[in-house]
Amino acid sequence: MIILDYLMWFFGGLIIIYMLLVIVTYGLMFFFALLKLRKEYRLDQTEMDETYIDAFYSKPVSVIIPAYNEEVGIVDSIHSLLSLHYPEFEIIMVNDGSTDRTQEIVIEQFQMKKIEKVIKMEIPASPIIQIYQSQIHPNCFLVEKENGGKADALNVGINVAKYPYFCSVDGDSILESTSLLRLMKPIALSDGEVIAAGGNVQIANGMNMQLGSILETNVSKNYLVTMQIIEYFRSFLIGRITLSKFNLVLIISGAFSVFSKKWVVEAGGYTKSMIGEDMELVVKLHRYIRKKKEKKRIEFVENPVCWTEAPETMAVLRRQRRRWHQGLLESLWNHKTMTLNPRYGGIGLLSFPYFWLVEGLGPIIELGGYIYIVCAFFLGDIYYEIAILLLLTFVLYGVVFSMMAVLFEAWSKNKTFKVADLIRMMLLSFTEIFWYRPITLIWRCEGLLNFLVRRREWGKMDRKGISSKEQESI
Amino acid sequence: MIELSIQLLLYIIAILLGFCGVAMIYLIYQKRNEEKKNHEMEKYIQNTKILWQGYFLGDDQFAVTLIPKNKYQILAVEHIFLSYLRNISNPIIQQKIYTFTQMYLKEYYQNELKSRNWSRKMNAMYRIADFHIQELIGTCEVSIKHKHSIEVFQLLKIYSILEKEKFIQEILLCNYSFSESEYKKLFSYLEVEMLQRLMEKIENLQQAAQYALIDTIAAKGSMAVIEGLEELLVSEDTEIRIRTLRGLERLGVIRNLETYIPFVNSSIWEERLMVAKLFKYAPLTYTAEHLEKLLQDSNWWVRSQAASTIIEDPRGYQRLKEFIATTNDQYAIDMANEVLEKRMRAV
Repeated sequence: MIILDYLMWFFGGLIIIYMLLVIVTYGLMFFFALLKLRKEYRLDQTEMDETYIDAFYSKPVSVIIPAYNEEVGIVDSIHSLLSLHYPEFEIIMVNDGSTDRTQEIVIEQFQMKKIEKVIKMEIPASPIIQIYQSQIHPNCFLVEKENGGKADALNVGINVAKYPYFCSVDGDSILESTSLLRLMKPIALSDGEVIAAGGNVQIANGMNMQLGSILETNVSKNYLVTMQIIEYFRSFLIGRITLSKFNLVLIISGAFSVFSKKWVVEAGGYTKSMIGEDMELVVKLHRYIRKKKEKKRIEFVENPVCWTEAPETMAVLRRQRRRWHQGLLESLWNHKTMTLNPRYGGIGLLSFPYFWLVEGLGPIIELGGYIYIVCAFFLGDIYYEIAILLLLTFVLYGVVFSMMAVLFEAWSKNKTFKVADLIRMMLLSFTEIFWYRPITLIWRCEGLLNFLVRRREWGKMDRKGISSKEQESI
Repeated sequence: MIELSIQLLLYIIAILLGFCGVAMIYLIYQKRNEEKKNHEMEKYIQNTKILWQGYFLGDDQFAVTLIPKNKYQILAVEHIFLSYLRNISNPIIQQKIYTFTQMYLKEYYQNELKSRNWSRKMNAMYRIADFHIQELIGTCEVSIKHKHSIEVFQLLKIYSILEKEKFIQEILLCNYSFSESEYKKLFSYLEVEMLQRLMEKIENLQQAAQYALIDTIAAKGSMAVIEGLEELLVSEDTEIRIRTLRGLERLGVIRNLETYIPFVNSSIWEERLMVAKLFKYAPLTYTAEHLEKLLQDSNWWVRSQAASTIIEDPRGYQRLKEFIATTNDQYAIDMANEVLEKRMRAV
């Protein structure tokens, strides 16, 4: 019994200390993000858009869309890209051996014709079968290649790209017309110091869209989707703004990010064998920057929005979260020597420990907390109080931060939010710790387990579908 | 100890939840205000758009009803003016807008500049530049106490539009450092004569400003600057030489071919690339020998550009055919074939 007491005290104390540390970290991140957004609140953003819309002040960009079985969303996605307010860009859709009608639809819709083009293979990638060019939009290309996975498709796109910067966009994502211009702003204004930038990804389910344009912003009625919306707000607005301020970003979403082609080529491009190829590239770039002893930055930009579709069922969400977590751990493990290594500055001393403890191993500790609460209620006595204390930290961490993130988002987008949506999301935030949080923790622990046993889920992931939507439906 | 912690956490959670509740009520109130503002603006625009149209585009007299009476109407007027300025380039309309803002909006922007809110102050500075409100330059100078780079940039932009002499003085002092794009933006408001004055003192400028100046002066497209640019081709700074070659290429004139021949053998591939591009402004008879050398260059981009330059000449097609038949360089042959195929498709 004494051993059990010691164990309960030990784990109770450990989990509470961990939760308090996480709360303080999140609190600080929230504070810095608030300061930044408060300063620019109501600043006329169109002024900047107007200033840099001229090609003379901006840099040309190659937009790469890797697509695998995207026949449903690809036309809308290309339409949204064609309507971008950006002076000089090309669109390269890489068909990664789709087995559906993706290629036929694109060829038909955009009147694509075969062309001959000499391609410099700067990054090793699968061979190209054929390149097509649109007859109605000459800046729109289709590259046909054998199936090789998203990373391979992106590498092919980079080889085909003719401009010094490339933007990766998922085949099921929709960009707002000013998104690319705003994403490129830190790059244009830094004279090459910023070598990569990631935009703000938000969930499109429930939106009213037509031909790649957003007609009306609505929040989905599906509770699972709404919880993901709240989660995205929290992650993008609270976490990434502060990490970006101190050049500590390790993840910029593959759904919408811009990179300097030169730096990516030198860093070796996307890694084919990794699940989280977007995070892996960012970590590789940070590593390469430090190796070259160059003063470069990777930033998160909160203004430009990319709309993407979120899973609507538990089964699909489970696969997504399991895969994301496995990808995160793989990248961290792959570059484990950077952890607490002063040679890598803030990335080694702050980012890596943060990602290991909070993002990587956090699910085990948090799930342990939930199990602890259940056990404590059976054991009774003093453990009731520890369990209540723990539960309160969960409330603070899960409920309060989620509510603040929702309010934060509504405040910064004063013009577009709907009061009914705000109230619904606030109420739903209250329920997060009772259902959404525990189940996502279990899925993330499954991802951790998959990472430990090096499980690849051959037969499912092996098909190397490149769209997240497709992968989830496999 | 545990009881105390529970109590403390409960207090913290209660305070934070209370804060969230208040914030939510505040946001809902703000939203209502925003809707009211949008409604007022929309109403003003609907009621006055015909009058504004008549005043700007026709011969109609200015109507007193157009004078904004509250903040919402001022925002609506701003919206209308910016739409005209950004979409129609007409000096008469521009002058009417400048005169109107001078008379009826100056006081509003003066108050905005005194605001403690940074965004409001910045928005006012944006509008001062847009609406050319010269009289508020002094207030702008006073209002930027913290010398934030965005504020200083905006002030310099206002100088470059409204007080050009002061702009030249400030930029030569090199007290601030901006990116190339920002310098380009600032220089773009200056006339060629002013830019030429800056060119004479180019070495006194910050490096990013030097590059931006070369790009801007070339983009203005004035032949008067060619001589000044050619002088920079002997600069020790590689980037300046590359920018100058690019600028001359943009101007599209070769005065003396000999000036450019040394760049064919440059050790810097960007210089070889730019000269390959520039050669399209000289007859192929004089440049063919150099372009064929560049077609066999070790750099892919140089080869590609040399092939494109050759094919642009009326005799280029034949010349490339002959080249393919006589060379052993497979890379050069591939490149030549690609441009030939492109030409065939275009035809």
